[in-house]
Amino acid sequence: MRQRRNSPPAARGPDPSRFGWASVAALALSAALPAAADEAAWKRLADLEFPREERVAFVERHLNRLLRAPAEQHGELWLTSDGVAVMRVHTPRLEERRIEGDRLVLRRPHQRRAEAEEQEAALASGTERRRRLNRGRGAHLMLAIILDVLSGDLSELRQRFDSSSTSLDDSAEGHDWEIELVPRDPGLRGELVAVRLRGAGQRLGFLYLSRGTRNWREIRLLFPSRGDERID
Amino acid sequence: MTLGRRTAGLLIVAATIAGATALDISVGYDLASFLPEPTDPAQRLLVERLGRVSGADAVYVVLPEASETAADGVAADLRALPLARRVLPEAEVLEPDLIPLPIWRKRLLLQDLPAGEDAWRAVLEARLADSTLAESDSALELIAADPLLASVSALERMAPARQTFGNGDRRYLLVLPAAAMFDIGTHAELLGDVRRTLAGRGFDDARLYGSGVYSVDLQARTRREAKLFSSLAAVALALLLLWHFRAPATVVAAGAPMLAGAAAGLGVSSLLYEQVHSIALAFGFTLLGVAVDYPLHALSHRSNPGAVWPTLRLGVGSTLIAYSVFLVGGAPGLQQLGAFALSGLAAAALATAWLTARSGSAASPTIAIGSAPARDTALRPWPWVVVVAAAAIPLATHGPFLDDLDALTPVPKETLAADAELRRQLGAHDMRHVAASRAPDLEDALLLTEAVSARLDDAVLAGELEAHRSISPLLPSRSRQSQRMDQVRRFLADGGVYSSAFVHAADELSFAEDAFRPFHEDAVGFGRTADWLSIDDLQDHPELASLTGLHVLETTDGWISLTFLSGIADADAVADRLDGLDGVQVVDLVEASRTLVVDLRNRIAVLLAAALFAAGCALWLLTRDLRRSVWLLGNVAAALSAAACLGMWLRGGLSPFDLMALALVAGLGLDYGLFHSRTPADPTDARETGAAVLICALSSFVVFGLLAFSRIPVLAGIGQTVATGVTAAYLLTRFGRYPKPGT
Repeated sequence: MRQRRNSPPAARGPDPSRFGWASVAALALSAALPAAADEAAWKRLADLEFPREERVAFVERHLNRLLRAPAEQHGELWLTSDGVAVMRVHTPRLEERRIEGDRLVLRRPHQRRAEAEEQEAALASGTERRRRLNRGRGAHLMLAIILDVLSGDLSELRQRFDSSSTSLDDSAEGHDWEIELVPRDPGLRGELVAVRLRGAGQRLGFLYLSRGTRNWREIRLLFPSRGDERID
Repeated sequence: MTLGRRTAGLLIVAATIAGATALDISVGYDLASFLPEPTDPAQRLLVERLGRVSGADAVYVVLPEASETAADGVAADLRALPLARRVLPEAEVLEPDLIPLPIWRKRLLLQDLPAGEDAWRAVLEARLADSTLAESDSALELIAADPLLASVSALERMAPARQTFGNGDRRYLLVLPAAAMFDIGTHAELLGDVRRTLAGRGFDDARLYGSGVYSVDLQARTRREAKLFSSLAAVALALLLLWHFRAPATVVAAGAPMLAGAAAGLGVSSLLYEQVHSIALAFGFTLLGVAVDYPLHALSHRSNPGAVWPTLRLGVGSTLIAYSVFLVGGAPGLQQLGAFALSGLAAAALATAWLTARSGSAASPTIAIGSAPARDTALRPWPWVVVVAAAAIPLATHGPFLDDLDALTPVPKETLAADAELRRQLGAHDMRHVAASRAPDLEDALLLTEAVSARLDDAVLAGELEAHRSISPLLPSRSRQSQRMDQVRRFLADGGVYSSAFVHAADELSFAEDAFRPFHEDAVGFGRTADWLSIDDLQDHPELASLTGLHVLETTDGWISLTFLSGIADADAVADRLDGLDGVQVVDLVEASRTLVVDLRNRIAVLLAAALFAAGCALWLLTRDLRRSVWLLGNVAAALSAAACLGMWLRGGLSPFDLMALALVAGLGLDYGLFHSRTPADPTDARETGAAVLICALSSFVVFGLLAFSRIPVLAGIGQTVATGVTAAYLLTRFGRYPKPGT
């Protein structure tokens, strides 16, 4: 004991066993923190509320190499009782996209525009195209993510993406948050640069998908309870 | 030379001819060559189309309790099959590389160009939405080079089914075969591959539908049944003949002329015709059944072998004259049938003569008729008068013929109902109703088709029709192509995608200034070359050729372009809409085929009546015995009536197959009548004659009686008809004679 007390601390070398434990702890912490953040992000997504049949207005903006500026489409989004995500675009052209599992059903009326009360009839008498939803590419990936997030079925997303969560300011609806999804597969990373989801509390408000600086799309959900302007 | 050696020699010759023929013979399946001349335009269309349709019917695969992912997996495996041309559903083609080259290169000829800013805005709005959903850069390239999506639209409008490939837990797949319509062998291979693929994916319970599936199943069942019944018949016949002749060598000898006749029939048909129709062969073998009796008669007369030949020659001669009417039957298939039957019968008769000439080694028959017929007999007319009169009542009360050949199909009614429902759900091509546009040249036929399409579009809007499909989206008339070319030139003259109308519309929707430059450059290049889209472009392309062949065909009189009509709600209204278009006719192909069958049946019935009349005349000329000739014909007519009545009672009417069986009954009945009306002086000869006729009748009865128990309606019908006819003919001719008083 004495010997230890009289020894100048500086002269003492580092305690190898102590250093080792600290390193391990630091490494463990550094590994655990992202894992915990990742888990928190997935939990946040899993806890999102999107009542079925509730129609939410949306604004979709997208940019690709054919466009000089982002193009905007307005419409309504809802999840049906049997788990189909429906995006009905009102402007600039009436169109309905139904995301049914791995299938995208695209319905367009013959006439370009229809009054709200005539939309169902116009769509029913129009053309219908069915496409296989390619979950690994472009716009289809976005639609697949929308369906997975709205329906709360995150199993495929968890397999293919790492996530990180960022806490933002509080708002009227609760705590604002932002989650970023990063593809694990290098092939998918070639398709996607970033996927960001933003929301408040248990509400999803914004999805952004980027395939590069001049190739991205975003969907903003407009909840009337939050004071967003409803779009018809 | 002994009978055994002659038999061996005959069999070697028959085998050699059959072997040589098998190397050379080509069997055809074109039903048109067997049908009579069409009498109306609908029949004409049907006959022209038969055998020319390029592809067999699709195989409809129903996967119960399957997810879309599982169905996609199965579809991917099926696409790898070499005999599958296409498997639907397919992913939507939104990449230029996946569009057939002629369609892509000449896409500007497939759709009208929009005129004015508003029209372009409407088009570009749709492309903006498409670009939102583009899943690859290739899809954006396609939009940039084809903003009208003319190439994709044309292919979509030709799609064989609507894109609804699921119902609840069930998933549907369509396999479009590479095989031609009547190539059942290749189709069977494909089905084997499909079933193995499904089993490999765990879908042992998958159901297959489609006419090709039923044809292959029916062929397999027919083969199984034919094998079973021919084996049973061969054993029964061998036992019967062994019991009769008590010498195996004689039994073999009795079969040899028939085999020689069959080989000769095949050989002659092969020499005379480039292609022999399968139906001519099948019916030819049926008619050749008469020849079985020749060696039985000849071999049964041991006491005086030569004595039987005058009657036998009479029988052979009258049958040959009767069957020769098929040579003037008016259809190539019937001529082939006549050639086969005549050469086969003649060869069998000659073979019998050679086989039994002075052989003297035939075994002694065991059957002996108790009382020898008198040297001179009177012929009672009343038995056949009674039979004919009795038969006339049901024949007169309702028509004797069965015109609904569907009634003969062994495919279960539930399967046919499921098939129809499946086709309805998938919106598969309804092949029943077509609007046929007929013109001397292709251009006029295409112009007519475009006029038909325009009027049918109105019919669809009015709810009179669900859909219509023609070649027009894929192959516009030259006139329309020319109009579109002018539109392209005007568009380019106005500045193309740099014209103010286009630029305003594109700019308003945020499209970049040079977004559609690929479209503009292609239009400029295309405007310079003015390369028209021709039918050769389509026919030379492996994927488009069969689609083109389905809709457009060249005939000896010109061209026919077919527009298939599906979901007709008001047939009269649709017909009214097409009224006034010269050269266009709405045809119900099912009705046309029914009337064709009626005509075929009528023709066969007339031929049979003519054959009977010819045989009667021949008998009278050869025997100069009017009373005997009338008696013989009366017996044959009575036997035919009895067999026909039973067929009507059991099957609701007589089909063309039954009529051919009746032809055999006529031949056999004539044979029995001739021998039963023979009046030999020698009681032994008379006894042997009676025994020979009995063994002939028993042989035919056993063979066809067994066939009557087949589960395949056509085979059972033939068996029932011949067995009944043979029994009636034997009984009528045997008991319709009596010893002449005072002799």
